[in-house]
Amino acid sequence: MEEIRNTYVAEAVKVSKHYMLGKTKLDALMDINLKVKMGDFMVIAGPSGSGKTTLLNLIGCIDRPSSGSIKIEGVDTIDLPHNLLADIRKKQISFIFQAFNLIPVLNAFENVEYPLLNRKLSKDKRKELAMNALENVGLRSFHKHLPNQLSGGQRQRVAIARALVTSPKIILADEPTASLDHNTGVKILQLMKEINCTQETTFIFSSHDPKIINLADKIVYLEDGRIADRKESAK
Amino acid sequence: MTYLKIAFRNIFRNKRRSFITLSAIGFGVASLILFGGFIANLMLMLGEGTVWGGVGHIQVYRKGFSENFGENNLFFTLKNYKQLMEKLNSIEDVWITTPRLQFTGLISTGESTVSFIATGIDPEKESKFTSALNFIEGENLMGTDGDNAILGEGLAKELGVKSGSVITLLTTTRDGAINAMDFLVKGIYRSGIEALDRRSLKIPIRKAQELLYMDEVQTLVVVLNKTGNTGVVKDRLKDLINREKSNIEFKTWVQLSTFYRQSVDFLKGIFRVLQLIIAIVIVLGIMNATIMSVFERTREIGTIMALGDKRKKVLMQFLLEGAILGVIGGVCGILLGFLFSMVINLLGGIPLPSAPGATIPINVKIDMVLQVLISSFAIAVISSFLSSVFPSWKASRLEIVDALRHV
Repeated sequence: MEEIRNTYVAEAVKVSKHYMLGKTKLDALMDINLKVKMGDFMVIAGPSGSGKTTLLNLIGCIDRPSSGSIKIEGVDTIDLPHNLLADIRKKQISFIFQAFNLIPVLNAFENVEYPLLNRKLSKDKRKELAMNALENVGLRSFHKHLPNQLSGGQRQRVAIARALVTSPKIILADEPTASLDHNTGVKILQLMKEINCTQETTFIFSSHDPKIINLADKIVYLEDGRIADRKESAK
Repeated sequence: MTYLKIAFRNIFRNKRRSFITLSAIGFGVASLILFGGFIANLMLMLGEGTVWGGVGHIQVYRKGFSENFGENNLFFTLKNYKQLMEKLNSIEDVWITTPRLQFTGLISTGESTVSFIATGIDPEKESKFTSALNFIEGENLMGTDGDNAILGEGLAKELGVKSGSVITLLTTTRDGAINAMDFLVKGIYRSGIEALDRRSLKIPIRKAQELLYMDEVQTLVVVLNKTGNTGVVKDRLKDLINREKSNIEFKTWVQLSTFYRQSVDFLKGIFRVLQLIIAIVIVLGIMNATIMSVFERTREIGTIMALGDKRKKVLMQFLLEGAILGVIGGVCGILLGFLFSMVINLLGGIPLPSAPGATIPINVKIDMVLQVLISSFAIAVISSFLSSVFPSWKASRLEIVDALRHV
């Protein structure tokens, strides 16, 4: 049992999620079972409205399932209060958003440094970690640039650096290439794959972008809130 | 990078909105400072007018005088008043002590007779501090000044007398006898209070004592070197009375002037209403700014909460921004208040017509009062902070997924 707990960084057990649209009940996810191993580069694929983002949000502990449970490193998060869920996100999970979601009043360095402010770290240590993260995404020299002074690809790199800086177990990326042109998207994906290979960081994407699907070692196909297919490629 | 720095940057993110919000707070605080300073100067003028208009800083009487004033005032007199005057003069910060004897009676020119309220005074001492008397004809009493009298403008008009006319004062002595004396009108004055000028006159105290067949006085008026020392001298006088077990009582100029007290209460009441109005303006301004800010930054709130920030942190961030807006607005308001008051004072103050019952128009300046500065600044900060509580709380209660979906 202890071995299993350590093996899966995230687990969805019989997870369902319903929304009420007026008096109509909408089933966004139904009976989803999913296990994510440390170092996975997984894609949750499927057409729009299939429940990809909902599943990602549940794994990221920013939403709660209607039934079933979400376990992060073996800890069932279903009944955890807001503050403990925030702690789990702070320590173990990072996000990369489709629209980058950088804080506009902070420069690249400060955006990357932001998640470290919640931790008991000295100013020098925070600076070192943030600059290293920017170095890893090739943006060290852009550290003083505000988000509106960066290109879309550079902004997404800053978002990746922000996700990496806390050394999380899982990085959740919701359509990370949707706002980028083809070439920039490829470069961003290669960067994430490289990080996945070198740092063993687990990536879970929600996407229908073939570039990501081709690069992934695990693919989960969703259709109408259910898992329609699973594929695993040899690493 | 600290949360304070983030708060500052967020405040100046939408410069136009912040400028409008800060202007509302700044002008609100400035108007409080101006009005507070205006009231302070008006109160000061009223106070000094009361003191130097003849009330003095402290009046000393025989015990029981205040309770029996009006009916038996000639029975509650200070017998050894000269000795008492010496003691009072020896108190630190006392500048002058002067005796008074007040009585009523009838004044006649032979053709017309009206009632009067006379005050027997020491002309030499009184002339040193009663600066508020404005002589429209003739001059003030001087020295011991024999059989001379000075009359209020209204009284002189009613009698039809001028400087140099002869009048007769008829009064009842303490024993019930009737006595009369002739006086020469030396001057006609305007005290600033019309009702008083219609009945009042002043004669030398020795003549008043002669007319009333008595050697005593009712009142010793104590004038200090500074009005601000009234409280200290009051305490010293209390000590003296306790030490010597003197059969005397006293009242300060604030206790003596009902008009001053009522005016102060009235002005303070208006000031409190203005404070409330300004606080409401600030609350509405900041609440609007914070609600707009929360709306615009909804996705950002979702992002920072997804990154691990707790609800409390989001709440604190917006509260901090509200409080900073209040602090900056308050500081701007104080600077504006200083600037406006300097300009107004350089231009000579605000001209006002004479108060009801008074005859002299006044020019009011703006005083810088520390208490007003502090209270105005506090109103800005506290109102700003409180008005950002609700929007900040709403921001902290946002569901992360909803916030992230916000466009």
